[in-house]
Amino acid sequence: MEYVLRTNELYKHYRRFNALSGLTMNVPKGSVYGLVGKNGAGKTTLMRVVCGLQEPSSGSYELFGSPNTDKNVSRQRKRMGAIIEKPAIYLGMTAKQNMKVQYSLLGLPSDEGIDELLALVGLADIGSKKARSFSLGMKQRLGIAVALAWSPDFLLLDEPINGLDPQGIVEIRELILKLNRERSITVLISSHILSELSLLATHYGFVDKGRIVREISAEELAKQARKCMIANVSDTQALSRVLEKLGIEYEIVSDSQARIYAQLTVSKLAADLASENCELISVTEADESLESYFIDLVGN
Amino acid sequence: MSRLLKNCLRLHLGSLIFLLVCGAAFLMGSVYEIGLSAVADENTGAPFDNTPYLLAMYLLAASAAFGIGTEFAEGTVRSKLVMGFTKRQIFLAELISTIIEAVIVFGFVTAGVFIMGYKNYLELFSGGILLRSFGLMLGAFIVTAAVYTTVCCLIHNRAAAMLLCALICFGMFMLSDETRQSLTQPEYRIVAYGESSDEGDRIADERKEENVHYASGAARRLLTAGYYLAPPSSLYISEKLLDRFEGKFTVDDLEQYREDFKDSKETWDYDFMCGSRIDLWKYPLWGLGEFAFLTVLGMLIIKKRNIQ
Repeated sequence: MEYVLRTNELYKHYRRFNALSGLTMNVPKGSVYGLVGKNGAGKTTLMRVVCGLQEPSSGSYELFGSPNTDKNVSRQRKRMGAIIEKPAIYLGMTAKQNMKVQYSLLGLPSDEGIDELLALVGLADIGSKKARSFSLGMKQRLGIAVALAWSPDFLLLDEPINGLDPQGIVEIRELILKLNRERSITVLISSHILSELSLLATHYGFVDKGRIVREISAEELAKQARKCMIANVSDTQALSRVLEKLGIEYEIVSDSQARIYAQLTVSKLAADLASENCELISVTEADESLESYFIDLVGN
Repeated sequence: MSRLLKNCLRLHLGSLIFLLVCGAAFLMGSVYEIGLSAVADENTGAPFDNTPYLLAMYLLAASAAFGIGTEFAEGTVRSKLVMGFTKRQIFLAELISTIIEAVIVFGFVTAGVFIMGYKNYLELFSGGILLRSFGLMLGAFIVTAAVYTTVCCLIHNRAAAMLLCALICFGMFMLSDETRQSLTQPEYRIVAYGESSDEGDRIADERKEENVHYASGAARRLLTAGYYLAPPSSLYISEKLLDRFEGKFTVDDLEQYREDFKDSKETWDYDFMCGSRIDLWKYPLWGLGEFAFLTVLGMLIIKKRNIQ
């Protein structure tokens, strides 16, 4: 599998505080990678380090295969666009002027494409309004347009939907999905609004105390988060035979545990298992959303 | 790099604060020259006053702080880093832009001064003298711009950076003034005293006494270094150069000072006195060294500083 970003044991110290503590992650090409974590977990610090705003204290990362210690990494950064915390736009300029400044910085020969980009992010009819007067959602969208000016292959968005109204959130979500599906842009998006992330992400990285606690694809997470009964038994083979007879979907998780994807009465299950000389130790219901999965993972 | 520089220049020179600073600089130059003309002597004109240039240095602090600080405040430095520009390139672009700002502000002050008083300057001073004096002041502005750029790359808050730059400018002025006062102290003082004779007459006499305020040795070297390093010192030298006299003052006339200083070599610091009037090459040399040091320091600061 091809990866756009790989980090290996990244550390970042600030005096007595460790923002990153051995963070290792892999962002597959073409994915929408959701970085999930509490406030202060290290999401923004990771993005700053990858963007070159800060140097890691130790560890390494690779951007499009180029190690961070390689001089070539600056060239690879040109394939990247980012919005860290707030969009980097000139507040005293209009949307079009901001784009023109960006184009001139990139050395693009003409202003061709500016109107299309502004239309893509829904800022086509803004006219001569200065960015200072934009709403937060409009600023975010202009920030994305600016980040897209050099047709990046990789987009980093640090909490892009924070502070947005519901309509703004929907617009940003649809824009991100459009960029990923139509332009094949890999997106790394951090957020703690998990319900929104669950509508976007194809992969997740759960961050806690400066390290990745788990990396999982959306598919795997969906399987794990299905409503089910978790049964702890003395003999999983016996459990298999019982469930096969009943025609119920199940998954053996370990030597003593299985997930049963159906509603069963406990007494019937216990009776059926007893006939197979198998003891039913415990049964719990599981109905994991992304929130509950995350909370279980990081504690509290 | 050229694209980055073009971008920085557009932002610095197109800002409202810079335009206001230029306007104020021109106004100050004109007003001061008009004021001096009011007290002018018909033969020698009026003495030159470097005050508008000193005030313009303070105004430059505001322009530099807002020009550089806005990029950090609005986060556009971040996007430049993401784009692949290095911190060193960003610092150099900001430095060059601030220097060009300083040159333009200097130009506006000088324009105001010359428009109101060009006759006096062109009639009383040769091109060589004018080049030396205004060249020294321009050099002072360039070094000051380098100081401001380094400070603004360290302190990203615009208001705090502006305040610190203004305080540094004041500090440099005080350093220049205090060191000059110490360095122009004579080594000996002639003290007059009187004593009564046997006949009841009063006999007046004088004796040479060591001046306790005279700095010597390592202290003198330190004071001299401080004087050369403070940009306002160049403003003071320019002011002395443009002391107006009868007839046209040329570069050859400067050599007369050397003879005058030789006569009082035992009392005054001959090297310092010559350095303040005749051997002016030391000022741009020290300025160049200071500029190089500030450039290196600024690049180190921005390299280490985390960009928020």
